[in-house]
Amino acid sequence: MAPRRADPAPYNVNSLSMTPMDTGTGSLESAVRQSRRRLLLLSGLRWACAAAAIALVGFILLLALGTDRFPGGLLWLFALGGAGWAGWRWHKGRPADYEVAQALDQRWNASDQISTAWFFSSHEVEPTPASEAQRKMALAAASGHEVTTAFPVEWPRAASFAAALLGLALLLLTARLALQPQLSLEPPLTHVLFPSLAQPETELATLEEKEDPAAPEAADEPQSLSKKGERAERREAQQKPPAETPPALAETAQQPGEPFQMPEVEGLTIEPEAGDELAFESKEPGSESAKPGEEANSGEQGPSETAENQKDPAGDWSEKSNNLLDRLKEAFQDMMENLGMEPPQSASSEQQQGGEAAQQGQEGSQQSSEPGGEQAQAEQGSEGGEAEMEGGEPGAGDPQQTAQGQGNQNTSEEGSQQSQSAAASGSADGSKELAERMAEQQAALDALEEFYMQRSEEMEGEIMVETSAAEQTAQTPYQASRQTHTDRGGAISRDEVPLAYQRYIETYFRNLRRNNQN
Amino acid sequence: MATTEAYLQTVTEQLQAVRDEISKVIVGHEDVVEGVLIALVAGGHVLLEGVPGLGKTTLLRTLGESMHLKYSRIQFTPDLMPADILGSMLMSSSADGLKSLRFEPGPIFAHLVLADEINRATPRTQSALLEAMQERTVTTGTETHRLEDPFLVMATQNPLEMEGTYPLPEAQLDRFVLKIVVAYPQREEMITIVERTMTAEKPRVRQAVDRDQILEIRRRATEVLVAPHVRDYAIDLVLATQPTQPQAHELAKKYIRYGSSPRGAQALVQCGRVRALMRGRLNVSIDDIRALAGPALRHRIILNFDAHAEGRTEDEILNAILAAAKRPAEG
Repeated sequence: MAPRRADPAPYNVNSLSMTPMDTGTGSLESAVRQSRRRLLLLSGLRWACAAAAIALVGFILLLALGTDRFPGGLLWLFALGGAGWAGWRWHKGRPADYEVAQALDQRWNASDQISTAWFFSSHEVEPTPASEAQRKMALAAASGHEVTTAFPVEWPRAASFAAALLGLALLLLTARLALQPQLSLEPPLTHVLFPSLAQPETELATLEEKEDPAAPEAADEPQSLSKKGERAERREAQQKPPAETPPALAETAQQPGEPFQMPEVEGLTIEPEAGDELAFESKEPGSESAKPGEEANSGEQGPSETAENQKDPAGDWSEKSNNLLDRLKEAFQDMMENLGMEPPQSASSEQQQGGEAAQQGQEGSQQSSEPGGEQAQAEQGSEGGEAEMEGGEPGAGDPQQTAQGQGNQNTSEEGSQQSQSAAASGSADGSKELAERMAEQQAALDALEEFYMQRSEEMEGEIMVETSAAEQTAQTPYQASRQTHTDRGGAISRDEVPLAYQRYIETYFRNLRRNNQN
Repeated sequence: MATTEAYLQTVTEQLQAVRDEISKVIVGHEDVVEGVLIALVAGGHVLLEGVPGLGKTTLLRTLGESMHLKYSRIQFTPDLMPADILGSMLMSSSADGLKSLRFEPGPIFAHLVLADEINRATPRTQSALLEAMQERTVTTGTETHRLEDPFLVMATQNPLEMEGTYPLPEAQLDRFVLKIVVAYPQREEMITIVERTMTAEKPRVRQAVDRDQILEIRRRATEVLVAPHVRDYAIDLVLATQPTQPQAHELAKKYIRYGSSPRGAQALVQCGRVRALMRGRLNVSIDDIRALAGPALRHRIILNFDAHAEGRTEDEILNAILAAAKRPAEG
């Protein structure tokens, strides 16, 4: 930028019947500088609003997330970052005097007279009569105008945005003040508005503390999954310091052969029913015949702890197991009917006589109880079946239980062998009939297939397809075809082609000749 | 100082007087009259495009009468030869019986030359105008004859009849500083035209300026100031029409085969100066450049095949470029 000249003496604008411009000094330079200051002020105001908006965003985040998740230092980062960014943009967007003069021209409809006059007067350009005269004309064009009207104070969009953010911040602050007895910015706003959202964490900690002291650490892991149900809560629970397990509990849990205590599980609690009384009674030393099945069901659980856990009123484990057994039973009966065998009615009747305890047994083991007595044998068979099914070990602690378990195992093995032999003979008969039936069906299918194949080869005739009256597109298979202009002996002269298309025509024929030569 | 301002006022009044005299004969078409005047003062040539019967020939004849300039008219036909325009060497005999070759100037030796239906002549004849239009000289044999200032060629062409025509080559089109499209007159203008036809008295055109005054106005027009931002605006407009330039407009990249030459920017600035002078200003404004962008650039851009196929016109693309071109203060 060349150094500016000193302001010339004011022109005698009255000789041109012009009124001096209302800019205070009567010169273009002062008008441009005054306009530039105003533009800088307006620009500064706009960017200050933008910086305030950024700072308010930080404050809103602080109010919403709390200092737990949005440290207070970040608020300063927002404020200072916004101010720095706005200052940089303001500094970068400062208009030059020449640009201000152009803006004045545009605002005052001066036909670029002011900017032209400013340029030719502020640069080292030799003044000419034309430039001097043009300067006077520019002064005349600027006369009667106010800088304030050229650049009025406008409500910047950033100010509207900042005002909206300020309102939001005040709203959030009011919500905190109204909901908190004493203003605290630490918890997130969601926990203030909805305290129930904050409860799961505290409840989780409480649950871990209240966890059954008899439950072993290893067995607690999968059960806590089902108990909490939600993975996020589990993760939070893992992040928290684990609840202290009493040393006695840990020892109990890790000792092999110790009876296992069923922990409390929501929805999976075992509730004793009326039919279970028999099983509970059989846990007494005098009636161990019903015991092994229960032992197998609960692993290495001791008799006394099992009884206590089964009396837990919180769940409906027995109902679910009954439903499952009913379904298994129905499926087994269906299978037997499909195979053409009669379901073992006697076993089921005996099972019904056996009550609810007998319903928990398996059908195979029920068959094994046929040779034996009535009720006790059915119970033994069902429990033995359970032991065999779940692979439960016989009770290791109590010698009586061990003996009973062995006895029941023998019983169940005998029963299962008998049921296997009966089932083998039944299934052999059924499979033979089935094989014959399938062979007949296969032969019929083969004949049908041969018939249709022959018909399809000999079939002739017309096919008419009726469709709705709509627009349809007929498509024919694509067939490549090629024709050249040279085959037809066509000729075209330059003058017949419009000038705009001659280049394309020439290129086209040039390519045509080249292709023919190839 | 006061001389400049007073002279500026005088120039403005003189040019307005010429326009008033022309308006006695030509009804409407103010933009056409102004364009022809601008081209005359700027020292360029003008190409008028319009259907027959719109007063193109009458306009130039009236212009010659109002300025008391020598006017000639050449009707271009396919059998027109260059010598018919430029002139030819004739055998002449002196009083003592000696015979010599003498150059007989053609109709090109005039101040205002109307080349009527220029696209009907062969390219050879069209190109005979090239030297005269650009160099203002005519060379016959070994002699070069200078054409007298002011020299304005106003060519007309009919956009409808393309059969048997020879479109002007780009090199010759570029010689025209402005291409003005003569549109049909409005209803009120049509009424005035018909009423003038019905009256027996023909309008008389008086001389508004003479040749020297026109040359003085032309000299003064070169003193009109052009600020850098106005100059840059004109250059940006021209660059926006060039499809290979990075600042080219999207439509220019798509539909223009060749953009405007630098003569387009020159024409914008030169004609802008005259336009500013006609409006009593001593500086060119961006409004002057925008007003002249169409006439100064429409014949300098060559559309590609896609534009012809899609029916795009030069004016449509130029309007898009003008709409996209921001003023410096807006940027």
